[in-house]
Amino acid sequence: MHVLVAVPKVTLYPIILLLFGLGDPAKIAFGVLHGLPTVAIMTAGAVRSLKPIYRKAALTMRLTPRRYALRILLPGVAPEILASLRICFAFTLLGVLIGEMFASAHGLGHLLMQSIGVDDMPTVMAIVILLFLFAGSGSVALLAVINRLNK
Amino acid sequence: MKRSPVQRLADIAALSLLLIAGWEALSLLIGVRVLPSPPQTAQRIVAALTQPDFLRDITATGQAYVIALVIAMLGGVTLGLLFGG
Repeated sequence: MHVLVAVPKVTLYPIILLLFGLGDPAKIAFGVLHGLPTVAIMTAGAVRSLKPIYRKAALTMRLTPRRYALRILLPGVAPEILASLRICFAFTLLGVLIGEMFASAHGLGHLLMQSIGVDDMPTVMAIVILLFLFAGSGSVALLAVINRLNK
Repeated sequence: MKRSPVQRLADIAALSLLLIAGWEALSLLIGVRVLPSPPQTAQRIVAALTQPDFLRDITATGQAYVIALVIAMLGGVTLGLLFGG
């Protein structure tokens, strides 16, 4: 999973296109490819750093794996999952936009490439600013939620 | 030292004004053809948001993004719980 984070994922785009074809499935897959590894790594790290007493308590109470996951594991790693959501929010957007830039007939990524091609800089800047405002406000909102839950 | 919400808002406003001023200065320096100025960009945003094609593109990106985000989060948490345990 760490390897997947380190690999420049744009190099995997031709493989994604061969697997999913042109259009929405490819750009969704590319977005998932960007966001999923980070969430998985942060969640796995949080699970490994969970206090051993929780696992011992679960064993003592003879909890099923499902109950252990739902009642102890997930609540225990919830702060890290929310933190990973902030990163996933940005990375997934990046993946979807890059996917649209190369092989999509619709979307802001496609429009961005089209505008660059015809030297329509006002439209390019308009898209950049809108994405900046969306990503920025989303990140701030998630941080506020995380801070409130951590209190 | 904890800052009050009003102080934080003032900080954000000051930083935003600084960024916009810097953007305007850069636009004047390198030319509006390369870097449109803030008022030009604001005008273009307002015009674009009234165009059906632009709204269609925003919707297309938004739909793909929401689906990708949900899959990434659910898949990532599931894999993380499996690999971490």
